[in-house]
Amino acid sequence: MNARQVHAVLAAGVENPALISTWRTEPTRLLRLGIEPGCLDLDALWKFAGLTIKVRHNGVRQQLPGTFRLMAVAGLEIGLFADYAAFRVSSGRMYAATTSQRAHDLVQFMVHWIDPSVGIHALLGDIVRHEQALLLLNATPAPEAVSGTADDSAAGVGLRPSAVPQICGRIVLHEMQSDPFLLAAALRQTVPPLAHIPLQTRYYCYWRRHQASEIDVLEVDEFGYYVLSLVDGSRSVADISRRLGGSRRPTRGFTQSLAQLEALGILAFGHARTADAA
Amino acid sequence: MKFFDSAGTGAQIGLAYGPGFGDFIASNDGVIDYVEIPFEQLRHSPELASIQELLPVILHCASLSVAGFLPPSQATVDTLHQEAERTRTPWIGEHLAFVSADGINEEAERDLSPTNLTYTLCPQLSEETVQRVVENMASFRRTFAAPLILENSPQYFAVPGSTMSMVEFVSEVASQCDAGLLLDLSHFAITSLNTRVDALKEIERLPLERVVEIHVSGYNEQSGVVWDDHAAPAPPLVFELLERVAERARPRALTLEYNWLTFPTALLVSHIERSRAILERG
Repeated sequence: MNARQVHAVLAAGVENPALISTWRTEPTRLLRLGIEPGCLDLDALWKFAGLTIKVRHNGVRQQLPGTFRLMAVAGLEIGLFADYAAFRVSSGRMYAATTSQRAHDLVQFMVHWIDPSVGIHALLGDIVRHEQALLLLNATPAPEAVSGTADDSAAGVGLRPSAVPQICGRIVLHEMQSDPFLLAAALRQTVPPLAHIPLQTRYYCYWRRHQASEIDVLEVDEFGYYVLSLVDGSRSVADISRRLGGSRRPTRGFTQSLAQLEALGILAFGHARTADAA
Repeated sequence: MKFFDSAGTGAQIGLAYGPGFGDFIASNDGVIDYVEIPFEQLRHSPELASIQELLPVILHCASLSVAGFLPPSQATVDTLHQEAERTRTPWIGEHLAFVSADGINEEAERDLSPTNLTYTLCPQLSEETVQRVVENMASFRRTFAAPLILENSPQYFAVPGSTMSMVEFVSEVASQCDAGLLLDLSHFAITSLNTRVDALKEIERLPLERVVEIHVSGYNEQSGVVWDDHAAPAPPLVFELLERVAERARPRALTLEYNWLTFPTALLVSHIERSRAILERG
């Protein structure tokens, strides 16, 4: 087989992994290109295409260190990047010029690639979303204070259904299958004990306060997670109560939970909180 | 500016440039003797040239497509020439591989614009490729004052039409081109593992007296294939190979290709010291 033609076919397959898929199903195409189909390990070529894309994303490693570490330890890198390479080619999109955008694009792909029913994939999903949340909140400017919040705190006083909760700062919410801090710590070990990471649904709120640089990561309960996900600065307490399956007149338990979030400093209320008329 | 001590005896130890390099050398003064910088990185980020105020530079390259059938662009050759002159690199380490090839048209099977990759591929290991390398090297020698030394590729799969093993191919190229070698021990281990040969026996078949520089890095196995991994430390086999090479070769430099410094500094320093000790003993 002519070396020049062999090189041409290999290079074409690496650049466009969709060709490799075609050659798998239609080996006569390879023959027309001067390559005996049985002489080329298409599976290995596919994986090599993944390796080249992995190397192209080495700059992202510093932004997602735990993610890359887990992929390496779990042996997922090559397969993931091979699939990513094919995805990018089929979508017709060039790789982004900046590391930040490449990281963002890769994460968007990964969260769909992951099969949450597979334990190690669940851990990968957790660590990548954990690192992405931290990146996102670090990258955005420190949020400005919401005006009037200092005067509206009224702990212990009943909350009007028309009160509108607002997030004090910026948050990212994630439902995880593990404790991301435990996972990150495990990944820093020479031999990460991933099999010992307990899998259990947990809810996290990544929170950057007003005019602050640090990020707090709070584990919240399921109720708090869904409440925070519904706070958009325009929905009232009554609206949120209704969306969560309650009535427009919030229960005491509901308002107490909101008060807890207010006490933490995550929530403030846009209207003055006064007790309902007796 | 600092320049590589070409007159020095003994092997010098260096690190490949990457993120974290600046912090490492600031905290570990005198641990390494030079930095190896990819030409492509210098071309993309010319400000990296300032690193030569701290350490001598050896140029590494992945753009000449030495084992390919399409020549590099004149702009690439000219820029590499300029960098080689500016850095006074003692040699240019280039991959015995290709990064560009004729285009193919899946539908019409006609050649189109070339395929240019950002990663080197192991070429067909054949007499045809050897002759191509000879022609390319003759051309490059007319351009570059610094010698080109050739780095063995990692082999991940059998390249169709190959009639030689990697050892045979590298030996034939080195002989016909009278070229020095950049012996990448990790690539050698990868090739041996993927082609199921005994690395420690195979290494003895190479013309080790031609080895000018050695590369050391990590690798890992995924999906049934052993892959190059500059984020991993060199495994024991790589150091065993280094011991064997040191018995016969007198390399002038050894570069740890730990571009990403993802493992503890103490381990990195131990690998630097271990490499130095092995080459001094040899």
